Amino acid sequence: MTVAQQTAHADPLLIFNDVVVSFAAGTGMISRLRGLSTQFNAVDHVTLNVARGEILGVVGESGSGKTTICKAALGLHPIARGAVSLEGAPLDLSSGAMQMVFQDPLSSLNPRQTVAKALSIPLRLHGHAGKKDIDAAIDALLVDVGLGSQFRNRFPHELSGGQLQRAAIARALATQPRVLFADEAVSKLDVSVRAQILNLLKRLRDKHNLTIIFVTHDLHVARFLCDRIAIMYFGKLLEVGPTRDVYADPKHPYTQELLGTLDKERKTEVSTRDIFNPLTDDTCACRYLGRCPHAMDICAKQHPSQRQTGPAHRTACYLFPEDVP
Amino acid sequence: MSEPLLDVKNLNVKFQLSSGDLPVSSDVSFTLEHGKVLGLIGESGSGKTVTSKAILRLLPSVGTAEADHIRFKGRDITALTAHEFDKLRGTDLAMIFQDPVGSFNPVKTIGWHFRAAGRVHPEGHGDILGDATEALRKVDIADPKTALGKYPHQLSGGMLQRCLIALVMFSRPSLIVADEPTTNLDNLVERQIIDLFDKLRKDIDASFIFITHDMTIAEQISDSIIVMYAGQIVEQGSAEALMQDPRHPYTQGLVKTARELEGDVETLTEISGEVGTGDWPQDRCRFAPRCPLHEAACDHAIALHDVEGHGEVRCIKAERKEPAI
Repeated sequence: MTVAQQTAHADPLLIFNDVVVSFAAGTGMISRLRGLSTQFNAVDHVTLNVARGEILGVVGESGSGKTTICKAALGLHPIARGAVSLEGAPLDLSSGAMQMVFQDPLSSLNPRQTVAKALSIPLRLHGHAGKKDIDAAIDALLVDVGLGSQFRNRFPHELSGGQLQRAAIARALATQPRVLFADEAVSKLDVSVRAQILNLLKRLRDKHNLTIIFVTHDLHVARFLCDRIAIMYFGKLLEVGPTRDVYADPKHPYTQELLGTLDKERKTEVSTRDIFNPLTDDTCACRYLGRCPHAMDICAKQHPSQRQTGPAHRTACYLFPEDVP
Repeated sequence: MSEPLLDVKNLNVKFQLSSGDLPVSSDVSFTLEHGKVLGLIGESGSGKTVTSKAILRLLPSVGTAEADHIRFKGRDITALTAHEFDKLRGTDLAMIFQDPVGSFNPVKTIGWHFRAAGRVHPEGHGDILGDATEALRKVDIADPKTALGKYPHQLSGGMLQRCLIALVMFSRPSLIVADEPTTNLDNLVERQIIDLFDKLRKDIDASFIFITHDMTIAEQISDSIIVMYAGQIVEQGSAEALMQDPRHPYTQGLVKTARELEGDVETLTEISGEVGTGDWPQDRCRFAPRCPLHEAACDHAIALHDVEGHGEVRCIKAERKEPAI
């Protein structure tokens, strides 16, 4: 699979190449004695390119591996197989080229540091020297995220939820990253503040040509913010394509079921059959097999490869013909 | 017109803190008819959960509630002794919490919970096993007999939430308070549960108070909606009127953002500022600092008043034609 086939953008910045992240399960004493210790792949052979300046939405339910793949790219989980590269080079994790904004802003800021202090540390580590230089950079960052310099000396407990998330974003931007990972960055915020932060992320992308990988389970938010959508399910990348195409014409049966939940007319039924269990179900088979209305014999043998299902739109499902080499 | 099932008049809840009394919900009055669903909307800290917990006498020990009356089936339940109230709660008045895992005893089977509920029911349950099986079947559990023998950790989050709903139904309550029952669940499971509520309200003769921060869910499930802001009701009316033609600027902002997220826009409409916690001004409009229509006349205590065809609105400009946000 070439890069050009996978994305319409000519300028891939971040490349996930056949990435696998494994976790050990059943490490307790009883499981070990009964021989139940096992490994499962939280991220299972995922290949994905992200273009410069695009917002990629990674959508999936809990346990789909959407957070794990971000943490793996940032070196917070070891990568068992495959590799992640930035601008064609292996990752240099100390460069500050990639940063993360977490779901809960309060727990991601040190409660005993003022906003200015929290911002000054990454600034100093990444090339800013001298108090004047750092002070000016702090002010610029605060203005960038819509806070203003009056917030310099505030402690986290003195800020509201939205202000905290702005401060966390400012800190992430301090190293002038090229890629920003945002993991459910608005899901803990109050509904009336969510729109402010979503607009801010869009504005920052436009201003700095920033690449944002936005992890979410909120299908409305993903549609508003993201240029492309990647649908994950139990570690597998099931579908990836331009947001408009995926929402207008979802290809994978899982994506169809997932996006069917947005349908107010309730035309599509949601199955109550149980979901895949990575510890007891066959991990060779398609992960969606148990719920899929189109299940075929071949689906039980091997998880399908990615197939071209539209311009820059790829789907892992046997319903579509394999790519012609 | 017969008497409403629930009639709450001037409910005030205070938290006694070392720094003094903190009013968390004030002047809450509403009625709920038999067999209807009331959607209670608000952001965190708006007083929606506290209001319902006050009705069920489940406030934490620092909380005190006062009301002119809370009539349930025509009887003022504020006058009941703790012992009398205990007989009512869990049988005729029930609550479904956000986290299904925390609602079950982890070392007891699902069947044990049904037997325990059967024992306390005043009318008694002749055939506990039969009724429990029936209740589980109603919530689409395919194999109720097996489910009754399982422990909570052996079931998925969605299954467990459905078991909890079945357990509540099993006691045949007249009023069920569901506090964000889908917030912790994945999209598909959320849709299952919402569809289930929709089905049950037609099947059984119970009323629901459905607490949520999600406008779209409230619209789908409710007959009438109450919007709370900073501890007060700011707007209440039929679900249709409130969603089609909201009159309070805060409701207008929430509805507009929800509609924009369902559609296709470049930038979301923002409600500027944030609500903050506690310590709200008692003698002026609490939304005034964020309101585009704010003027001197808003700096007085504003009462909820009837707006023809729209229920009640706490805004001096509720009669205007054009939306503020």
